[in-house]
Amino acid sequence: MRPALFATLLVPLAVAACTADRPPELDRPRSLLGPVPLKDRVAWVDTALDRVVALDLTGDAPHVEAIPIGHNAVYATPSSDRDHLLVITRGEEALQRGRQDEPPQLFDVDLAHPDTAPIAFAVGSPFDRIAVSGDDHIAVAYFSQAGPDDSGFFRNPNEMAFVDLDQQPTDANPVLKTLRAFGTTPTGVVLSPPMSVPNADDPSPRTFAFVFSHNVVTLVDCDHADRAEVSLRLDTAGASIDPQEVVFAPASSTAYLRSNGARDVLQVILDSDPPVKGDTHANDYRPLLAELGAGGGPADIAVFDDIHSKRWVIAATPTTSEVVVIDTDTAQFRRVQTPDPIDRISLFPPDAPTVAVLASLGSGLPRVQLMPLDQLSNPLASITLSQVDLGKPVRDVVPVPGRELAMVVHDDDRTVLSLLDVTFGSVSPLDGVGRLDSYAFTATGDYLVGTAAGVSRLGFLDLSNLHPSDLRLDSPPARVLALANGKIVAEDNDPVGRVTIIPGAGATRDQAIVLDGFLLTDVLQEH
Amino acid sequence: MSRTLVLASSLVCALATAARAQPADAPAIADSAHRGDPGWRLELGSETRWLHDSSAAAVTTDPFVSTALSVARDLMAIEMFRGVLDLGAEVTWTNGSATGQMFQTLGTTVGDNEWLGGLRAAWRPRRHVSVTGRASAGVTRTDLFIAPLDAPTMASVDDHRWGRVATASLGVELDAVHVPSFALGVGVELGYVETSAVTMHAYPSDRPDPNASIETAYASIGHLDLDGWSLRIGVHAAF
Repeated sequence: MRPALFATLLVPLAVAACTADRPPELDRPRSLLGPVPLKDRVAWVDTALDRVVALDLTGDAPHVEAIPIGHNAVYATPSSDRDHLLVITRGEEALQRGRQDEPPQLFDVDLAHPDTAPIAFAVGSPFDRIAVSGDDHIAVAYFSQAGPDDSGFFRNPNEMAFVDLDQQPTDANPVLKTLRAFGTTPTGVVLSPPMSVPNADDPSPRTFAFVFSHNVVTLVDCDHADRAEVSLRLDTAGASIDPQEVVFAPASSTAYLRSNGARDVLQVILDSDPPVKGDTHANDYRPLLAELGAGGGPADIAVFDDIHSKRWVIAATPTTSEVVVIDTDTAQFRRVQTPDPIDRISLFPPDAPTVAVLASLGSGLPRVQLMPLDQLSNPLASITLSQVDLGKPVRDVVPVPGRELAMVVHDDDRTVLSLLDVTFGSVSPLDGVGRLDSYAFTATGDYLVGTAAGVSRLGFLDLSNLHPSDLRLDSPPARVLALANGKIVAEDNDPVGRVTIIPGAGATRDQAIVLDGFLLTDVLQEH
Repeated sequence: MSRTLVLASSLVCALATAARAQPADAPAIADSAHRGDPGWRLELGSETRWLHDSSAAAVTTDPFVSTALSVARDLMAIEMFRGVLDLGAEVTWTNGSATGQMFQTLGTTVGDNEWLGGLRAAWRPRRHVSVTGRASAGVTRTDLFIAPLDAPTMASVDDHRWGRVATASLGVELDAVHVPSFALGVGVELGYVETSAVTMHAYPSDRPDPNASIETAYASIGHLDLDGWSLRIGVHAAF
């Protein structure tokens, strides 16, 4: 009987061994990066299933697209045109026989053409931030200040990857670079619009990266990232300087830098500086620095071109209760006394500003000042501010796209709001059901759409006549997104995925559609 | 579905064998009444199925455990190979489930109810010992439930679908009691269960009345296939 006994014992064991291997992706902790609103899609990155899940909202019915990417996504950001999604993946080590090491990569996912395979750039390190140029030509991957995590051994916070998104990945693309450091680490990266260096042998427009660090701004020519970077020390006068904001005048290859701790706005002009022949790593430009006399430490700056194409910089210096208007062609400036310590400048309309709204957010004063911009070029014309009393403290000023309106937030919880009509200086208070947890302006700027936690409604405000309306939903949304194609998406923050898609402001429940469970699309096969 | 074809072929062969054994005057054939053996049979068992499709592995790593209840009627007995081959028809109902997790945050439960009809053959070389074989086919209702763990207020999704199922098995039975008109014993069977893949969708468990809610589309979770080898242990009574 022994063979029969053995057989009796072995057969069930052999049968049990016939079970399928479980994909390890299903046992990972899962987090979702997103939702990321794109032009006509909304995307999430699933860090467990290693895929981008996008809702295609171009048609009447939503369509779910799942696009595989590398392992362990850590960061995602849309391209400037909002057709692509850029995702950094950490990769993984091969812990089992048969699996392969995967290095950190930056994936360029073309969601406008989801059938196109994502382009993977080997960025070398698991960066967790991406800066993208306005023309989507350059992406710079860098580390945030979150510090090292439990993966990896060494971490070089001054390392960056400069990726030419218009070129295929090669050994020379991306360029990995460790910036010269002075005991500091980057706090942010801003990419310039394409700028030509005047009088340079190479007149082509290029993108420059302005890398902020404590006391240092570093410039990198992203189109020639293999060339040496240029470091600008900001602390030569002994002050402690933290660069905060840079605005550009691409026509004149100029940038204006605002820093905490600095007395003035720093003007950075890129000028031709032919390199020594044979030095392939030398730059063909040099930055010329000038301090524009803001005085008092600017808290906010804004730049705009007037109708004569003259570029102006406006800097607010709350310590001196002034606003300084700087003619960037001549560096001449005018000081405008303000009754309040201004620390926020908003321009209206944003594309061709005629009025600047000056607010004092830090002081929480219940008023704003309106400064006309149409007479700046006339040195004889005085600049007169007009005050608009709002009745309640101002905590934030949010421009409405495409309109000369600003949404004014009066408390930190966004429960008290008003709309400021910049043209007339009128203020309309808004009453709501509670805290405005999520809001968006429709692409045309015609409507403000908002949600409040636990409320199964979307609130609409027609910005042409301030007529409120709402749409009852089947479940309370966590956030609302307004897409460029006019559609509105209310997202429920549900781990299996649930959104309500409204074809546009003013639509009825009959025209809306709910999509459920899309974050589990093909989860049983997706391995 | 190649395995389904094999199982179907087995079933057809078994039926053909039974049909060939039909002549009533054949000397090797005797109905059970002539021999005084029980004609009806009731079986209660526990079946463990090791699922081997990757879609099943996505929702559970545990074996699929079912309760099986069968009722059979012996149709004829054939004396062969120094024993008696009983042929009968049976109907079986099984109900089982398995649980698992996804992403460490979602709990999964997969269940099914199967209704099967088929043939059963038992060759008894000795009075208390039988070697059995079954071939059955029928329908199955597969249920899938996915809910966030530790977040009972979050929405869960579930779905159920009807599909086809076919099984075949071989086993051994031992009768503790075997007297005319009654038998009682235990048995063990090793078999294979073939199911058709069913497409599951993410239907919310708390979905509102469709007439009072916004038109809703439900994403496809994918195809779920509960194929696998099975081991059934049960007790039976015949009378």
